[in-house]
Amino acid sequence: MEYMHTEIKAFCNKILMHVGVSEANAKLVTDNLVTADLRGVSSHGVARLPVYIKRIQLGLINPNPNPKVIKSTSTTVLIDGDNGLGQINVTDGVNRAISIAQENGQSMVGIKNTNHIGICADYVLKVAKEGMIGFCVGNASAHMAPWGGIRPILGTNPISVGVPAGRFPAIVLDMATSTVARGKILLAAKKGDKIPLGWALDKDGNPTEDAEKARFGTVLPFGGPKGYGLSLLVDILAGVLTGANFGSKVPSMTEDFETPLNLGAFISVFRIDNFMSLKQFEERIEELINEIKGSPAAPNVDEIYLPGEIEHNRMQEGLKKGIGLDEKVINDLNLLAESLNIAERI
Amino acid sequence: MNEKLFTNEQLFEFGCEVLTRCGVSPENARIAADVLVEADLRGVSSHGVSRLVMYKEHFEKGLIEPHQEIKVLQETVSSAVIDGGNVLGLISAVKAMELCLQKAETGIYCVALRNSNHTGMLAYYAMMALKKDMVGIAISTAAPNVTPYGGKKPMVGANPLAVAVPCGNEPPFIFDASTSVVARGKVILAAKRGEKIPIGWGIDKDGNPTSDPAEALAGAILPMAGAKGYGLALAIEILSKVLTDSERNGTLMLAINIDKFLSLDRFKARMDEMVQNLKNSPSLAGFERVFIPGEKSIEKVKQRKVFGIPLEDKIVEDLDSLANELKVKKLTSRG
Repeated sequence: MEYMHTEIKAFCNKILMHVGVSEANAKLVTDNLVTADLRGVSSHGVARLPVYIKRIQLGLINPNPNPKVIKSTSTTVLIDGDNGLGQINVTDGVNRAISIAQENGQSMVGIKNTNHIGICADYVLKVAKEGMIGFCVGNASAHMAPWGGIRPILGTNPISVGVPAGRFPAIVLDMATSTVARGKILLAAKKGDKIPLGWALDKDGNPTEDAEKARFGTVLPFGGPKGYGLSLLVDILAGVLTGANFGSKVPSMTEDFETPLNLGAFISVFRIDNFMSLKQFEERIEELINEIKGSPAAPNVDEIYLPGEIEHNRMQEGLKKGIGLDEKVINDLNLLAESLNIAERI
Repeated sequence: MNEKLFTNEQLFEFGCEVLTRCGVSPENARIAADVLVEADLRGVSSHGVSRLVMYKEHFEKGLIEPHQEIKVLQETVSSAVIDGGNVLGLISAVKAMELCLQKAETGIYCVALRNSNHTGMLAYYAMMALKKDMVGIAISTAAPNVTPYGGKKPMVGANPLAVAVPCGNEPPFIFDASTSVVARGKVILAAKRGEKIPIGWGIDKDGNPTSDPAEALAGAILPMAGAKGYGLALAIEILSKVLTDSERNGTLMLAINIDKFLSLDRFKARMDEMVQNLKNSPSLAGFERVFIPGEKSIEKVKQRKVFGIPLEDKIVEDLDSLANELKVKKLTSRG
C-alpha cells in the first residue's frame, strides 16, 4: 500500500521522541529513513526503526549524543560520536565537512563511536546541493568474506559520491561493496525464495542458492577481488583510521544486543572552485551527461541512466503519490507503537 | 611463449638512455624509468618498459613535449591545480604526488593534474605516500573503451583507482584496479593468441555479448559488476577529468596525513591487526589463503629483484629495434 511520507515521518518522530530522542534529532533520523524509502532503497528505510528503538531501549545507543572533537586541523576533524544514532552523528560530520571546505577548500572528517548511518545518498546529496562534491563511507557489521575467504570479516561497507550537475539532478552514486545487499537475502529467506549463485556462501564456504543457508554464511564482494579491496579500503578509512571498531570486531546490529556497535564513518568534501568555477564545472558535467544519455542503448535496454537518476525519479514520484511500503513493515511499526503505549497507528 | 630475463638495473639504465635520447633531461628520465621498471617488477608488464616504444613514437610525432616546465596554476591550503606542460605523464604525475605529499604535512592535500599524458601504473604514485607514512590515493582517466551500464558504445575509460596505506610489521595495503571487468590489454592478447574470451567481458559493435576478442575490440569492454563498476568509473571520470579540466588524461592525487586522525603507531598496530585477521581467516576451496590487496605484487617484486624480470621475446625484439633506431646499447639478457 502507499503512504504519504508526511504521515510516516510524523509517526516515526513520535516513536523516536518517546524513547528520549530530541525533536530535532528525531527529525534527522526520520528524514534519512524516509528518504531511503522514497528512493526505493527500502532495506535502509523505516523498516530499520524497530532495531534502532530496541538498541536505544537496551542502552546500546545514546538517544541524545554530545559529539566531541578529538583532533582537528584546518582541513580535518576526528569526532567521537558519543554512541549516537548514526544519522545524528553523520549529519553533524557532514555539516562540519561542508563548512571547513567552504573555508579551506577541502575537508576530511572521521567519526568513531557511532551507529548504523542509514542511507549515504542522503548525505552526499546534501553536499551536492551546496555546489560541492561529497564523499561518504561507513563500515558495518561483518557479514562479508574477503575474496578467497569463507568467514565474514568485512561489512558490506557502502561507498557514496554526490556531484552537482547543473540543470540535471545531482549525480549520486551509493553502493554496497557486496554483490547484493544482505537485506535482499534476508527477504528471500523470509519468503522462501531461492537466490542466484554468486550472491553468497553457506557457513562451510559452499556456494548456495538457499537464502536461509546464506543467512548464516556470508555475502560475497562485488567484482571479486576488486569489491573486496574497496570494502577493505572503506573499513580502513571509516574504522581503522577513526579509532572505531573494524573488521570482525564490529558486532552484528541485528543479533548482538549486548555490545554497542562503535561503528565509524568517513566524509570528504571538495569545493569545486579550487579547481575551476562552479559554472564551468556544471557546463562540463552537463556535457558529460548529455553524451552518456545520448549514447545508444544496448539491445533490450530502454534508456541509459546516471547513478542515482532512477532513485531521484522514484523520489519525485513518491513525494507526490506516496511511498509503497510492505505490509509487514507497517505491521512491525504499529506493533512497536503498541508496545510503547503510543496511541497512533499508521 | 619464450621469455628472457633482465635485471631491474638493466631495464632502468635502458629506460634512462632511451628517454634521454628522446630529449628528456637525465633527471626526468630517471624519474620516468623508475615508474616503468616498478611496473615490470610488480608484474604489470603492460605498463613497463615495453611502453618505451609508444612513448618514443609520441615524442617523434610531437604529441608529448620532452621538456616543459610544470606549473602550479592555482593553490589553496588543501589543493593545487598543476599544468603538466604536456610532458611524459610519468614525470608530471610523480611531481604532482611529490607536491601533494609535501603539502599534506598539515592534514590532507589534493592535486589535480591537467595537460598530462599516459601515467602508467597508477599504484606507483599512491605508493609514494608510503615513504612518508601517509595514505596515498591516485585516480586517473583512461581512453574511453568501456560502455555505461546499459549502453553499447564505449563512453568512459576503464578508469583506475590506486590506494596505498602503510602497516606496521605487515606489508602495506596497495590497491590498484581498473573499473572495467577486464583490462583491454587482456582482450588484445587473446585476439593475438587466437583465444576466446569469456562472455561478460565485452560486447560487439551492436551491443551483443561476444566471446570473440576481435569483435569485443571493435565493440566495447563492459564495466565491472555492471552498474556498480559504471558508477565508480563515472565518479573517477568526474573527479579526474571533468574537475581537472582535462580533455584527455586527467589525474587526481590525494594524500592523508594519518597522524592528524590517530597517532601513527596506533594506526599501524590497528592495520596489522586487520591484516593478520584477514590472512589467518579460513580460505575458500581452491584458494591457497586470503591475500591482502597488493600482497602478491610485493612478493613478486622481491622475487624479481633477485631472479630477474622476464620479458617476452616479442617485447625484447621491439626494444632491440628501438635501441637500433635511437643508437643506444641493446639490452643484454642475463639468461
